[in-house]
Amino acid sequence: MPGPFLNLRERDDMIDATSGRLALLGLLAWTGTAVAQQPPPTPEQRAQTAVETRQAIFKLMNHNMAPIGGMARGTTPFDAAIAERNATRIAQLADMIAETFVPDTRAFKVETRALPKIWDNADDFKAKAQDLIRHATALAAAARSGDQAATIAALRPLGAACSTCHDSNRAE
Amino acid sequence: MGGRLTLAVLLLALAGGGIWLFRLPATADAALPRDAAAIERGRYLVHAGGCIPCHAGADGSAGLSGGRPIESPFGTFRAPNITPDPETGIAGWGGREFVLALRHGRRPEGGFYFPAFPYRAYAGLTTADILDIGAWLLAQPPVRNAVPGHVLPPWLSPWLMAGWNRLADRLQATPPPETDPVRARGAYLVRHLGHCGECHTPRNALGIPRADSELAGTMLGEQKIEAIDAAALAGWSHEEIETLLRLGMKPDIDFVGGTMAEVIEHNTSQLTAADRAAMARFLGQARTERR
Repeated sequence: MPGPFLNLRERDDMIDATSGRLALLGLLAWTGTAVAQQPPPTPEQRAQTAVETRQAIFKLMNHNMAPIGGMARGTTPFDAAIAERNATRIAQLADMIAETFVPDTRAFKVETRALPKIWDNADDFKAKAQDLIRHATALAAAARSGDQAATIAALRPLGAACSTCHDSNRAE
Repeated sequence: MGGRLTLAVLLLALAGGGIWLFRLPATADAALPRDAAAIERGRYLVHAGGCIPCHAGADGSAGLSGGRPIESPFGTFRAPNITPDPETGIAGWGGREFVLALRHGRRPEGGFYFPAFPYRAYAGLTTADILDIGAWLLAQPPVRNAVPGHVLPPWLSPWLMAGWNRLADRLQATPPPETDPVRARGAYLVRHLGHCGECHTPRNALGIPRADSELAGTMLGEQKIEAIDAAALAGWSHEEIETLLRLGMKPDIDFVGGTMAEVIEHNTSQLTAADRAAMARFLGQARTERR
């Protein structure tokens, strides 16, 4: 089958044949120096990683919510198995939110919509995160029961919990 | 002689103007229905009418006992207690009182409500709907709760509303009648019962909704109020508008927040599927009438 993937593999084979041993030696040398010399991440790098982890949680939330959203709108047929699978994932992701906000990134120059209020008023943020967990767990329970109407109705309070927190803690 | 005549004419004109401004509109003393069906219709109408979020308790608890502060550019209003408590609520109200309040913005004794109470939107309600709303409200348990007064600048007297109402009458648009019954029902729910324009239509400096910009979106203090006219919803499918009203979910799977989340919870999510579909149909085609 012609195509770029095949070409890449052919090139890999060629490299393998001619310089495999050399590459292995180089790799060994590189890891050796890396272990010895790579500095620990700076606070800035750690802040950047924290931001990326948080954003990943919310992207995965959206990814898992989208199919249920289509079912709620009636534009895709209700699929109890997908609803249950995704709702369970959303509940697990909700459970991770608070811990991904433990690293306080207020002082760092990072690209984020997270407002300083999250850490200024940490108890309020935790309460809102807890509220989300409660409603996400309710959605997962409704989805597990296979009850279409209850599953879709559970989206409203869950969505309200999302937006209540976004309103106070996320920049426009 | 001429001076006296002028004075007499002036006084007569003043009195006439005063009567014109301040007299209570004539309303038939319609009896409130008491049957279970009317009370049940009233329950539905109170939810569809969005009474509950504003008449909530001062602590934000859902209900009708009043006290919740409503911030506006003119000051802080507090919605009154509309439970049938004899001392702090609306016990003893009859059809006349409900029609005066909801259609004309007038207190039973003749005073004026401030238009933070959306009586100009409710003015389009049928008398039957107003009476059913009254029937349900009076069938609720009384809650004793004396609501503190509004916090307003000293010049803002309720009596100014006499002139404000007349001015608003003159500036009000008369939208063309809806011929399609579904759209007509949607218009009734959006314009009158649901009073969407109270927040979504921009106002002039006097706080009168701008007739040329119905549902065109505005700012309420710091809060951005989205445009929900046909231009703003042009990219939305009927199902997307309907889902927003039912669940608060936008096309991009994000959810509405703030006071709109309360509107979804207490008002639009409680509607029958047919009524919500009618609202969505009307909103998707609500053309701003440019003049």
